[in-house]
Amino acid sequence: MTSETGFDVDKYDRFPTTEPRPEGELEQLEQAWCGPRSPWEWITATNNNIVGVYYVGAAMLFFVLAGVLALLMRTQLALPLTGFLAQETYNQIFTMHGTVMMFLFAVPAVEALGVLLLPQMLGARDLPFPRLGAYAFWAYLIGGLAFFCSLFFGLAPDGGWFMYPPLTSTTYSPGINADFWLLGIGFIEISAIAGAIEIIVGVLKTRAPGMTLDKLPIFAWAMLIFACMIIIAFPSIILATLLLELERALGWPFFDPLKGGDPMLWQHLFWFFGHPEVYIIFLPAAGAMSTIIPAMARTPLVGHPLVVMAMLATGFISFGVWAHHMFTTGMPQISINYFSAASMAVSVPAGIQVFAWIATMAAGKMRFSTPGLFATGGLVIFVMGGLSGVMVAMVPFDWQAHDSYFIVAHLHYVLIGGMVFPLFAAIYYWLPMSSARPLSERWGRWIFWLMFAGHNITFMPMHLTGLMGMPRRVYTYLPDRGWDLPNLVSTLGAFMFGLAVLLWVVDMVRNYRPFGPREAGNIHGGPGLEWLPSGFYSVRSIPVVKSLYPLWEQKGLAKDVAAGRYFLPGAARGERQTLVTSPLNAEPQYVLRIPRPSAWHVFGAVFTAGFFLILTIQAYAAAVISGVLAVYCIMRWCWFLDAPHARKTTDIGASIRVPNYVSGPSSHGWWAMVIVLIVGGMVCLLAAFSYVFLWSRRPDLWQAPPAVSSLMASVGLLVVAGLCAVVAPRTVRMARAGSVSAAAGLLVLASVAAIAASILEGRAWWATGLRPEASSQGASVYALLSWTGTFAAIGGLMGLYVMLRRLFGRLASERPSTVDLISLFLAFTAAQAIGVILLVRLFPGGGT
Amino acid sequence: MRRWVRMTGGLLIWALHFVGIYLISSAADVWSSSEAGSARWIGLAFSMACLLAVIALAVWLGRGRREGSGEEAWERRVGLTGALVAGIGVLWQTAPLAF
Repeated sequence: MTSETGFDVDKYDRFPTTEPRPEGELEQLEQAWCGPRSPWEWITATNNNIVGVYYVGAAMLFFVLAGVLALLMRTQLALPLTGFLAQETYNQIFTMHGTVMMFLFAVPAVEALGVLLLPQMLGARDLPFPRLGAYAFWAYLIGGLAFFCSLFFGLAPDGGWFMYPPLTSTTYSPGINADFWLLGIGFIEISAIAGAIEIIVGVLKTRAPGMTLDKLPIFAWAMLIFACMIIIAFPSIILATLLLELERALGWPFFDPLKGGDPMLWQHLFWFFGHPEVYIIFLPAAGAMSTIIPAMARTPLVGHPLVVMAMLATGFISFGVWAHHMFTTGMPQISINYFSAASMAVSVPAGIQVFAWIATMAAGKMRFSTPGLFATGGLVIFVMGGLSGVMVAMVPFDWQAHDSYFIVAHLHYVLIGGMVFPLFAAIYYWLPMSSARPLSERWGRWIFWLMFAGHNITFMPMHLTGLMGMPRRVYTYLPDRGWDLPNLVSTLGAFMFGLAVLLWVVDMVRNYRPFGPREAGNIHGGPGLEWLPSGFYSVRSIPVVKSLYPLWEQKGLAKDVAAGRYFLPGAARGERQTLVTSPLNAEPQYVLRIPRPSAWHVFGAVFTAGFFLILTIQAYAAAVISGVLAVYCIMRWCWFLDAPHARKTTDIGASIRVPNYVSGPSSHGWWAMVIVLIVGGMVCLLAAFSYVFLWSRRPDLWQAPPAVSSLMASVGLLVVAGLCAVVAPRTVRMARAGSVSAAAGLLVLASVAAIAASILEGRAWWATGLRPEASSQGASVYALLSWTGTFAAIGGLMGLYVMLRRLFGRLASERPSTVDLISLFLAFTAAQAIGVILLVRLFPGGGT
Repeated sequence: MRRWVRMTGGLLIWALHFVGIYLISSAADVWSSSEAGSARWIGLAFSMACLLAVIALAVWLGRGRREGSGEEAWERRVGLTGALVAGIGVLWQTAPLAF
């Protein structure tokens, strides 16, 4: 194997070490990673073992809440012309059911599973940004609960989970119900993106040495692809919610055809997020299936490289199927054909995975205990949903089935089979690892069969009610249409499913009781590192991985790891540390000091949630105060980063020394910043698409851009900003007197130039008489400029931050990460703004 | 980066092909009609170029299959199967242009 970093991989042969470990080493490790000792410390905790459990718990809470809403709906629909729910209430409930299931349960649940499992699975002590993970959790919990509570005040959104305009425009949805959805969901997606950053950097940079890509656990592969998909897809919903909120609050007509807007833009943006979302949910669940089935069958996964390829292919092709939700909107026929073909093609990688699971079951000796039952049941249900998916991928069939109960049946088969059953399999499989106590096997079998039967009794008849013509989203129906019996059967099935979930909740409560034995161990005989003996510090020492199934194939591994015979067996200087490795070959690069718990990320999450929620009720002054407090808390949180180290290197075991600090592309912070910028760039790219799309709808409404002279000034300032940002990292590394101050000065200059360019460009457009509320051109030009202006403003805050760090002596030549990351951000800000300005000035040309 | 491209190159070409043919037909729809013969020919030519690129990638991956370590062989296998699926995908999604 060629080395990726220059590290001599022959050094792996020094492990497991043989000399005795020093006295008190384990105690020091336990002390450094001790759990919370007071109620407040349970809130400020950042350890993935705690935050991961909170996260899974919160996601399952939302699953139960949304399930209760489903039961209310099914009660209403059990018989024709029932008056159990009022029409308005029903609309709010079905909107909240879909929204909560998709945004507050499905994505957070799989992200939570990643936060909980990945560090142990990868042999890391924690994920690389534990406070970011905790911030994402608290933001999600607070925002999600506040969003759900809108139901109790009659303020819940009622436009369906995809919120199509014009139904959700102020004309047809005049209250603040839709605003709750737009601001609430936009905010929760930011939390999902924060989690995705954590997962990508975690999987690529904190793997156990030797864990090359072919030895990367399949669940980690799935989580990596899942997180990358979030980074590409979620900016679309963030942009869509921003645009619709701008239209509702300020009258910017993105979706109003009278002023050149087009509701189809919403559908494109929503489904560019919405369909990948299905695979975003499915892939981690598939990763869990590909882990659980081999473990339960006691045999390696058949076709492992094919399954990895299939997951990658699913990730790619899922971005080419969004318009299959729009077959009935009058799109050009050829475009419909492309999307139809892509929708059928996506079944190829899904099929590869399904056949690999079946072959693994056949090759091994499958144990049908509860995790095995849920995995098999999920497989059966998912295949049925996939087959009806191929049916609706065919355009003529879709025209018949569109917006009918057939679609409701299809989507529930896919989502419950593809995500809910695998999630339950995962909970039953991994709970002994997390809580050290398994769930009841007897109850588990009852729960599985009730759930499996309940699912099929609920959703199988819906295929028929749909084909018999019953539309979706109706709060009641007339008798004697042949819909009565299938609806009644569906309702009975739904309650059966509900009973299964209730039994599971009771068993979970029993499981987490604070007394009784807790020593389940590796009861399923799982082959992954997550089954090594562990504590809050994850594994006692970080092993060298030589196999895809280390616990099956590396004899004595658990004993040697627990005896501290591998990497980082202690906590040098009482610090929380983990090993950062290279992204491909997982070669040791440096020791990462992991921050200890603090309250700033919790306060940051509270005030960020406050900002969005208060904005919803249009209390602008209070929202601004909350926003300022959020920024202050986040700056305080960052203040303690990039601090000096007592020593330059650490002995990580067997006399191998690695640095305690690196900067540039090797550092985990650099990777996180690059991912953040990809998110920003995606929003900008999609906003540029929106601009071109809106022009193509009504080119006659577009006016000429401002004079070229102002273009030169704006672009010139941005070039200066970009150059300053590029030069600053080189300057700070000069290690001469004044180089740190010069670098800080360059960054301040860059941020001031970017802000000045934004103001100049906005003024130039304003002087032409173009107004954002007047036409789709005005709306899209000012939206793009506002986006780049926001980046410039954040750059300004960063300039202020870097000056403060300089004043307080927290910048140094030997620690250039802060300057590097702010430079990267400012260079991107300048490049993005130049791109936007050139687009709006030069396309479509001089106007028509 | 080279190793990532080797693993995902075929799938990247597939994605590029999808975006390309969609953009070509959308642009044709703005300027004349997405059904226009010229748009179909441009789409076909673009598809052919993508297919050739997939084949070239597969040949490159296939030639080196006996070299390299276990990890590299594994990555090559992922890349090759990805190129195969991408080739089928490109052909399949070109079909609407032919009718």
